[in-house]
Amino acid sequence: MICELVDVTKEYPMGELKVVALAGVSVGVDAGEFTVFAGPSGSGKSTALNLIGCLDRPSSGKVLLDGKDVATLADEALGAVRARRIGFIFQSFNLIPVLTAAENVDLALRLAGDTENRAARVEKALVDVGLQDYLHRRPSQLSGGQQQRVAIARALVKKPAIIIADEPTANLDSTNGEAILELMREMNERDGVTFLFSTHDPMVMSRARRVVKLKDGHVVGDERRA
Amino acid sequence: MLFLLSLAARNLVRNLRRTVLTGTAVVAGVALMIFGWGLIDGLDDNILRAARLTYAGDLVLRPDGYPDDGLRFPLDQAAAVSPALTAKLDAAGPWTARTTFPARLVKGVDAQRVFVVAYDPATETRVFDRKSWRLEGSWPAADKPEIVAGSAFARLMELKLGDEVVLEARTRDGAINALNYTVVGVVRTDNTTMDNLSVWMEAPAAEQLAVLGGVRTQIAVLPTATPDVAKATLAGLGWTPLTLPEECDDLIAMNRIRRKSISVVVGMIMLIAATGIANTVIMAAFERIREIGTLLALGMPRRDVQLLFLLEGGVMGLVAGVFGAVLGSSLVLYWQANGMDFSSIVEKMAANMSMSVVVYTHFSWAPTLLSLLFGVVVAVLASVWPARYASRIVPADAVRAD
Ligand SMILES: Nc1ncnc2c1ncn2[C@@H]1O[C@H](COP(=O)(O)OP(=O)(O)OP(=O)(O)O)[C@@H](O)[C@H]1O
Ligand SMILES: [Mg+2]
Repeated sequence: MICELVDVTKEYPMGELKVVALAGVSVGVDAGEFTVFAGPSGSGKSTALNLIGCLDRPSSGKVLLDGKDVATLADEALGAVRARRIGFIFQSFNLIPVLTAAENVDLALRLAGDTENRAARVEKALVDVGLQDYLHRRPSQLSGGQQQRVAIARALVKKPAIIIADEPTANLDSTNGEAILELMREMNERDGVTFLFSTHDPMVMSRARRVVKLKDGHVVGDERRA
Repeated sequence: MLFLLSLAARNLVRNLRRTVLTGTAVVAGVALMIFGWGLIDGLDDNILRAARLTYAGDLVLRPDGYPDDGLRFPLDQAAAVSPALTAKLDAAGPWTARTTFPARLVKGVDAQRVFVVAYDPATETRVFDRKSWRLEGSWPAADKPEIVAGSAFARLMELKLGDEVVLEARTRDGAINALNYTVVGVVRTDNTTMDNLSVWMEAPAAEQLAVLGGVRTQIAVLPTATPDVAKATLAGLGWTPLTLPEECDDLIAMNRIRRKSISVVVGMIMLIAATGIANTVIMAAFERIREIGTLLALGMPRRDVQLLFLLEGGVMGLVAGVFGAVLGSSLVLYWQANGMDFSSIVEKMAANMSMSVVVYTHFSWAPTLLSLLFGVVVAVLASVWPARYASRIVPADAVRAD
């Protein structure tokens, strides 16, 4: 198991009240999975991804990454874990606007402290997502679909344990969304890259090999397909 | 670090208009600081230069107890130059002695108070090369009743070359004497006191007018040794030696006050600049919350995020500071070469100051680099709080911010 939530709760303070985003969730992800967290808005999908992605800490419970509990790590250590072990793909692409496609991808290697043969690996990652002709474009000179491809290359280039994608197709039209999903699925099948994402989109769910259903902060279903 | 620097620079370029607007205050502050200091240093130089070239040399001696206010020249406190002092002066370097005493110049029905500057024609030019003076006409011929008038005084009295005037003076023993003179020259030394209030004549002519008996009121020396060394050898012989900076200390002190007021103005401009920079950097942080969240999510350490924003402020300060330094030193260098002519203002004030009306600003590296450094430091300090804010963003929320 690469990562696992063990009886995790997450509460957000809301004035006097508390919002319970996750109410005792246990779920694990194995290497090579292509898993989606599905569920209605507010069910806790993003919250669960944030915890697995080490972007946040749980209110209680354990977050295991490679068998080690990261829930209690300090900010800097958590950052180092993210830099080396986790790839992110965001709904709004989140490329650094002043950096070119290649520089955005390079940034991930730089922050991972992974300096070997950087230029060649950056180029390969961008070629792999079909952007060989766009290496030196800035994000503002790329379409949404192209930007998300750069984001995929940025997540992939450092060979993370898991790539976490919170609604990666939500800001794309259906054609581009499908193409992006196809690309991720291909990388999963060819290179065994582990993907974990969240979505509302039935198309995305239909492509997943495992669907974990969340509702009101609980896991209410876990379905595997061939 | 280099990467963060390049990222900071690109972020500044990205919002160029705002960066330029913010930087302008730093440019102004640094430029003014350099120019202000260059001007004051120039004024200091100028005071010393005017004194050196017109009456003091590098070392000036007055009879013990003689007032050095430049307003009164009492003949009864003048003194002879003793053989002992003469020997010491000869050993010290080129020197000359003058006698300045009050008189009344009468031209037709007009009369005006004036100081007669009586110089020794044999030694005067050993100390004062007169190169910076502008003479119209000629200096008095030996043994003739001729005078040269200070330029502003000549204008006041409407003196023209060839005019016949009468000088009335009290002799050293108190009798009134009056003699006829011909104005043969008009001189502008740029020492306003002398140009406003003086007429010049050779010592033998003054001897006739005021029966001086050889007394002198000041001695100017260009010592071959340093002025301080020469001063020590010349002390204790009935005359008080002062080095040039000592002689001019009251005027230099006035400049110190001017320097302070310029510092206050610069401080205020820098405060405005600092506010602008703080505002720009905090706006940048607010606008880029998602970007900061992304950098943190990708594992950039918080202190690097903080450094990034400090660098944005710092680079802005540095670039603006360099522009300000170039602007400020260009002004200083220009007026160092060409001089700022204050004659019209000074003549209107009829100021009684021993300084030249043409001010040459003074360029030096130390204040220039110091001002530049000051600009950078102010910019970095102004960015501290915004940078801290940026680095404290929670990445989980920030990556989704819009
Ligand atoms: N930072 C926060 N502060 C307070 N409440 C929060 C915060 N983040 C999430 N929540 C709350 O926690 C619950 C779960 O939110 P979460 O974002 O995980 O849902 P989601 O399943 O991703 O929904 P969506 O499909 O709309 O993205 C919601 O009720 C939400 O309002
Ligand atoms: Mg969500």
